[in-house]
Amino acid sequence: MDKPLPLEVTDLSLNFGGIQALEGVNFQLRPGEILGLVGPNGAGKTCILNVVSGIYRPTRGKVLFEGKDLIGLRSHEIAVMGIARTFQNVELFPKMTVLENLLLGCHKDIKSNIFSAGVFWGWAQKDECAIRRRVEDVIDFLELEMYRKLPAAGLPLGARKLVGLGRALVMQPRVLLLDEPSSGMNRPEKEDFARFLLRIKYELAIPMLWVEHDMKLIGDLADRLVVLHYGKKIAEGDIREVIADPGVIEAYIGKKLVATA
Amino acid sequence: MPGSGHFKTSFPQDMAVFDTPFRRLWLIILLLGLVAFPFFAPRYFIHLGNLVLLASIAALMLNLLTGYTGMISLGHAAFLAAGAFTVAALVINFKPPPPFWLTVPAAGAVGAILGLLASLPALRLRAVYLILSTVSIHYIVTLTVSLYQSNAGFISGINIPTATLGPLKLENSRTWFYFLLVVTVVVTIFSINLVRSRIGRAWMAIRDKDIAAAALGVNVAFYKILAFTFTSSVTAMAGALGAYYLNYAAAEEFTIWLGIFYIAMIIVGGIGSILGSFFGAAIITLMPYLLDGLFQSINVPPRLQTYVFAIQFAAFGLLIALFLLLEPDGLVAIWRKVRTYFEMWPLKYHRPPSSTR
Repeated sequence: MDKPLPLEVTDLSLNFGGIQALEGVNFQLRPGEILGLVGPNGAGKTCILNVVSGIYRPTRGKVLFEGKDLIGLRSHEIAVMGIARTFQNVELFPKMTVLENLLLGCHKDIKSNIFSAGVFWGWAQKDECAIRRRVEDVIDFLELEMYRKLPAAGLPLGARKLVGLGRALVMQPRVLLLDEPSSGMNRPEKEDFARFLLRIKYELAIPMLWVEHDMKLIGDLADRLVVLHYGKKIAEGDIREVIADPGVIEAYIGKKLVATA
Repeated sequence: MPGSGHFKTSFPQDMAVFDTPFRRLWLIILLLGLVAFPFFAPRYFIHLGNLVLLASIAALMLNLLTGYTGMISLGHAAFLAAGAFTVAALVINFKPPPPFWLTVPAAGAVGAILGLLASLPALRLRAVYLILSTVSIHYIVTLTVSLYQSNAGFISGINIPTATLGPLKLENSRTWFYFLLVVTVVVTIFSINLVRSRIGRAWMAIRDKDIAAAALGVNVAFYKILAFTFTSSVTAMAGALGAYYLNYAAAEEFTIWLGIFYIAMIIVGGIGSILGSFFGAAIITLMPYLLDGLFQSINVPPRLQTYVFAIQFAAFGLLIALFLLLEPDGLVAIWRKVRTYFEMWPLKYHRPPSSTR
C-alpha cells in the first residue's frame, strides 16, 4: 500500500453520558468510491459524520484522513485539510444569497484580511473574481443558475439540498461526506441528484461517504455499503450481500417476521 | 450595447455596489446634497447633522457586530466612553496636549484591546448570557472612567481642546460637518467592502449557522474576536471624535441607556443593513429634538411640562415596539418597498428581492 486511504475509521466509539452512540466501528473509504452508510433511525450514521468532521469528539478510536489523524482537530481545521460535508437539515445560511452561500466554500482558499477586504480594490477584488469563477463552475455543474442571487431561505427543499452539495463541492474536497442528501426530494429531483453524484464520482473522482435512507437509490449508486445498528457495524459489502445478511434483515424488519416467513 | 437594458459582462461589474447608472446618479445627488447642506441649513441643524453622523458611525459598527455577526451587545456605550476618556486622559496628562491625529488612533487601540477582552466571553456564551456579559463590560468600563474623572478632580466632565488636523482647525460646526462626512463615507465604504468579501461572509455565516460555518473552514472563534475587536476599535474612535466635537468628556453621558439607544437604532433602521444603520441613527438621535420642537409648537399646558421627559421615553418605547411588531426588518425594509414601487412604476410587478441587504 503506497498511498494512504482517503478515510480510515478504526475502533470508533462515542458515548453521550450513558448512551453508547457508536461502539467499535471500523471501515475504510477507498479512493474514488461511493461508500454508503445505512441503518435504521438512531443507528449512529450521522454521529460518524459528525466525528469525522470534528463536531463530536469520540470516546475512543481513530479517524485517519490520508494517513493523518483527525481526532482532536477542530471542525474548521478538518475542513481546511480537504473534507467537505453536507448536512441532513441542509444548514444553508438563510439570509445570504445562493451565491454567497457557495462563495463561503472558497473561504479557506483566499487570504484577504480585514484591511485588504475593507479596501477591496486590488487584492480582495482579484480574489473575489477568482473564487467567483470557481463558484460559477459549480453553479453550471449543479444547474443552479436561476437561483444565483436569491436568498437561500426561500428556495424549494430540493434546490436547497443542491446548494448544500454545491457549497461542499466548491471547497474542492478530497473526501465528501453526504448526510441524507436525497431526503425530501421528489422523484425527478432524486434522478437529477443521482446524475450529479455519478458525475462527481467519474469526473471529479472524489471519494464519498454517503448516509442515506433511500435503499433503492443508495443500492444503485454506492459501490459498497456499511450497515449500522445501535452504534455497531453489522454488515459490510455490496448491496446484494448486505440485504441478504440475516443481521440486516433483523435490524430493519425484526426477528419475529423472519421466523414466521 | 444598443439601448435594451443593462448588461453585466464582468465579475467586478456584478460585484459593484451601485451597479446601474440610475443608482450612481442618485448617489451623486445624495452626496451633492450633503455637501450643500451646511450652506443652507442654520447652525443648529448642522449641529444636529454632526450628532447624526457621529451616531451613524457607532451604529454602523454595532450593526456589523450584532446585525452581521449576530452577537448582541448592550455594551456599546462602554466603547464610546473608552474612546472619549482615552483622549481625555492623554489631554490632561501631557503638556502640551498630544495632537488630534495621535489621540484618535490611540483611542482606537484602546477600543481594540477592550473589544478583544470583551470578545472572550462570546466564544463560550450565547444569546442572553452574552448580552449579560456585555452589560457587565459596560459597567466595568463606565465605573472605571467615572472613578478616573472624579479622582482627577473633575466634577462635570473633562475639557478637551479644539482639534487641529494640520492646517485644518476643527472649531465650527461647518468644518466639523465636512470632516465627519468624510470620516463617515470612509467608514461606510470600508464596511460595505467588508460585508461583500470574505470577512463579511464569514461573519454572516457565523450569525446564521456557526456549525455549518466551521464545516466550511471558517475559524468561528477568530472571526468573533475579529468582529468585536474591529467594531470596538472604530466605535472608540467615534467616541474620541465625539469628545473633540463637544469639547468635553463626561462619564455621566455614557449610561446603559446609551447602549440601549444604539440597539434601538439598529432595530428601527434595520438589523443587518448598512443603510439601515443610518436611518436608525438619524431617527433615534433626532427624535428628542423633534419631540421638543413639537412640544414648543403646540402649546403644552405648564402642568404637563414636567412630563416632557417621560413622554419622550414613552414615545421611544412605542416606536421600538411598533417596529418590532409591524416591520421587524426596520426602516430599510420600508425604503426598499418604496424604491421597488418607483422602479417598477407603472407596472405592479414585484420582482423577488435580489439580496437581503
